[in-house]
This record gives sequence, C-alpha cells and structure tokens, in this order.
Amino acid sequence: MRVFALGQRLRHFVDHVAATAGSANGERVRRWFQDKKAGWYAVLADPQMPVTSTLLDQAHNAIERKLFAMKGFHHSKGSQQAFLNGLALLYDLVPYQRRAKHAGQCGVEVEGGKVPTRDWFLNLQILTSGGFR
Amino acid sequence: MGQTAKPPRQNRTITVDFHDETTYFALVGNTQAFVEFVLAFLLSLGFQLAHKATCRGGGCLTRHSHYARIRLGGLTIWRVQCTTCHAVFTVLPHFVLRYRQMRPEVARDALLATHGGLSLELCAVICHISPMALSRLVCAFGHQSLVTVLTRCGLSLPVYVLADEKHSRCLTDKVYLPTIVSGRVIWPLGSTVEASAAAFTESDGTFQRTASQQEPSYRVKGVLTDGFDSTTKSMRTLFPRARLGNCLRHAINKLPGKLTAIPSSVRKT
Repeated sequence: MRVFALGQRLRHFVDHVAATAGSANGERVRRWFQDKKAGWYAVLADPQMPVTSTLLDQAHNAIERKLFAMKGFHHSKGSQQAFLNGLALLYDLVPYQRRAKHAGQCGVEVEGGKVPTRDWFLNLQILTSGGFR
Repeated sequence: MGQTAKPPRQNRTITVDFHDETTYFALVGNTQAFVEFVLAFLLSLGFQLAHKATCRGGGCLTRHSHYARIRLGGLTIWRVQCTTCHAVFTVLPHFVLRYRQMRPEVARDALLATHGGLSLELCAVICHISPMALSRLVCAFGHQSLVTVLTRCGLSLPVYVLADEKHSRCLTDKVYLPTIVSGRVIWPLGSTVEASAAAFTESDGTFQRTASQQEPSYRVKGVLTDGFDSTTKSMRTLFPRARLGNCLRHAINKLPGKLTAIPSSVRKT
C-alpha cells in the first residue's frame, strides 16, 4: 500500500513541477525520480529495512573526531586497520547514554547483545582475548 | 640448508576477572583453587576456549607453567593447558594488560577521554602516558576481528544493514572509510585510498568472508545506502540477493538541488 502511495505521489509531484515550472524541469525531476525510486520502493516494501542512514552518520561523526585527533592513524608503518578496529570496538562497547531509555548501555547491549560484566573496559579486555573461540 | 620460518604462535591469552588483586595473589599459591576459579569464570562467561583444530574441547585444564613478569614487579603469570590437545592458555589477571606496563585504570581513563573526543595530546597529559602509547593501545585491542568480538556478545550477524563511506584526509591524501552498521553497532570499519567499487568490495569483503565463516548460511536481506555509486556496486557484488534501498533523508536533502533551475517564486507554490 505504501509503495503504491509513493508512486502516485511522485507522479503527482512531477506533474505539479511540469505544470508550474515547465516541462523541461518536470522531465529533469522525473528522470531523477526514475533513477532513485527503485531504492525508495525497496525501503517502503520491507518494514524491517532501515529508512534513513542517520545511525551510520552518527557513527561516522564520532569516528571522524578521533581520526582528526589521532595523527597516529596517518603513520605509514602503523596498522591502520587495527587502529580503526580499535576505534570501532570503543564505539560498540563504551556506554553512550546517561539519561535516556538505554541509560548506561553500550551499543552492543542496545542491539540485544550481552556483555560479560558491567565494566566496559573489563569487557573490552575479555572480549578481545585471543584465547576465546 | 635453508631455515624454515616458524609459524607465528597463536594468541591464546585469556583475561580472567579475579575481582581484586588480593584474590589473585591468594589463588596463585593454590593450584587446584586457581584452575577451579578459571573454570568457573569460563563457565560464567559461556565462552569456548580456542583449542587446537583437532580438539573437541572435552578435556580438562591443568596448570602448566608460570613465569614472572619483571616489569610488573615480578608478578606471577600462570598458564593452563588442555589435557587433550595440549594447547596452552596464558591466564592474564584483569589488572594486567597484555604486553603492557600501563595500569588498566590509566588505560580506561585515556581511552574514555579519547572516545569522548579529547585530543590525543590532552589525553596523554591528563593520564601521564605518551601519545604513541595510547595509539598503540587502541591498535592492540583492534587486532581482534569485529565480527568475532560482536558474535561473542551473542549478537547475531546483521540481516539489515546501513552501508556508507566516510571521506577523510590522511595528511594530504584522501582516504575513504567504508563502513557497515546495524543499529548502533559498527560491524566493519575499513580504509581505502580509492573510492572505487573494487576498493570498497575488497574492504567490506573481509567482513563478508568472516561472517560467512562464522555462519555459512549467512545472508543479508536489505542494505540501505545513500546512493553513492561505488558503495551500491560493492554491496551488489558482496550481497547479490540483498534488497538495495536508498536513504529517504538523503532524497529530501537532494531534492532542492534538483529544483535549482526553477525560480524561487514558482518553487514556493
């Protein structure tokens, strides 16, 4: 139902643009919709599909601050992948909220995972131990 | 006669939470109690030990040998051995970091400050460590694969994911960080020097391979991207049966750009 509604709304919008701003503009917007609409339909057709990439943008913003702060990332002989993995692990395992619904929880817990202890640093030590399978 | 290179020894260190240092020192002198404590800790975690490939892990653990860590004031570190496959596991107490003199409290504070966005210089100043030590600490934790760590936490492999790349600078060069997240969790975070589909496929392919090794039937059902061509192509290559969606927020952000040729008086209508 949502998919049909989207198609109809897009067509109406293109008609409106063509009527008010000329057929050339209407055609340009229509072509852009044509390129993108398969992706929008995919989002609307599956209720479990994420709708916006906001959570990923938040992760990127948090990581970027550290990349900027840590010039070690640019070290030619340093392991960039290990460094990035380390940053990603911190992002996943450090509790990030104090007051909201998931207060005191890390990303892993918010997504339904279980961490070994209440201490995030001890969790980091335990979970990155090479002796566990 | 050429010498054959020895294969690197597998990291079989296990960090055990002894609650406090006095408990550890009390247990070190009692073999049976020590092994029982380690076993109880392992049972409470529910983790399997990384035995040798031929071992099914049904054997007992026995105390194998010990050594003194001189740089930590002669602290005794014990190793335990599987009686079946003879794999040896180093038992690291929670108040010791592997191959590091740094105290965990210092490491915790420094990492928290770094994670919070404090500059490397200031983190080093407030924690009395060198900036490079902090960088190495992050790298040390990052040697483990993210997929391995996250599945240890009981997270199932992500079925619906967000994929994007971050454009960043490496001094004067550009770098790209292809990333896949599911909810609030980053699964892989890679780095490439090109923004091509091939480079992103190679970077994200590591995640796909590791995930498939963990769960051969693993399949991604949906991927949301911002429409960037290289990311879309790499996702199509790696997850051919996944449904590819475009972010609706990006669409709303880009729509005004498509209407720039239209006079604003008309746009307002």
